[in-house]
Amino acid sequence: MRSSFRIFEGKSGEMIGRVMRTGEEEISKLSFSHNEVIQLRSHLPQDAGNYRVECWVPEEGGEFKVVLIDMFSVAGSYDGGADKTTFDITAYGAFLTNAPVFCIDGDDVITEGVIDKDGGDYLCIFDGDVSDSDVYFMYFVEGNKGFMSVPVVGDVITVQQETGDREITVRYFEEGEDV
Amino acid sequence: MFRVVFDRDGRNVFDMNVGETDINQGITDNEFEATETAVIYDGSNNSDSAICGLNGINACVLARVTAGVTK
Repeated sequence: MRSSFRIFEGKSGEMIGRVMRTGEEEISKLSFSHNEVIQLRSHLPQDAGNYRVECWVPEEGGEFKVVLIDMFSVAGSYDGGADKTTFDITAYGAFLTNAPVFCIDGDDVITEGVIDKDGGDYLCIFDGDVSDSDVYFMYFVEGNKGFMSVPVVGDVITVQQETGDREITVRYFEEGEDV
Repeated sequence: MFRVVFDRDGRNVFDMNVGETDINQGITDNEFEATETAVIYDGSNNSDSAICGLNGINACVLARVTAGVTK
């Protein structure tokens, strides 16, 4: 198996990102999914590397939807006065303000919120009391074919094909590796 | 504005340019059908890009590239 992914700046032609796989290696996980949940990691790696997930369906075929979940192990804090719940994800890195974020409770109720910055802290903010929920980023790709390449920073990372029965290829790797 | 090249088994599968004026308007490259769309976020702290996700691809992590192509 050999695969590569490259990103070029269109006007200058300069390549601004590149990963390539030429064979089996330990740091990558390459999995094929037919609807099952693929757990790519269950806890943060010990090193300080930047990790990424790619998943793709390279050929035309039936409709599919693949969802990538990047979940954080942080406790929520509910402010009754403001009726808001915040999750502090500062320890996981730096984030874009207003980016969408989600949380799910024990009854599988999903709530959408946004990332906000308070001083040097990055907070996930939700309406109401969802402090018992797990907070996560969600990305998905759907259609007849496609791919996505997403930086992952959370504790638990899963990928699942929610719609369709296509063969989904998923790769989890540390950035900078060229194998 | 960006070109994305994606190979599998040594063979190009995707090779497309994103429209320079509006990345949400689809692919202007003749090599790909108009219904195929690509989005690349460079992770800059631009709230407009953060809240304007395309087909499930939103940038969340600052200063890290997030990319996706779908049809």
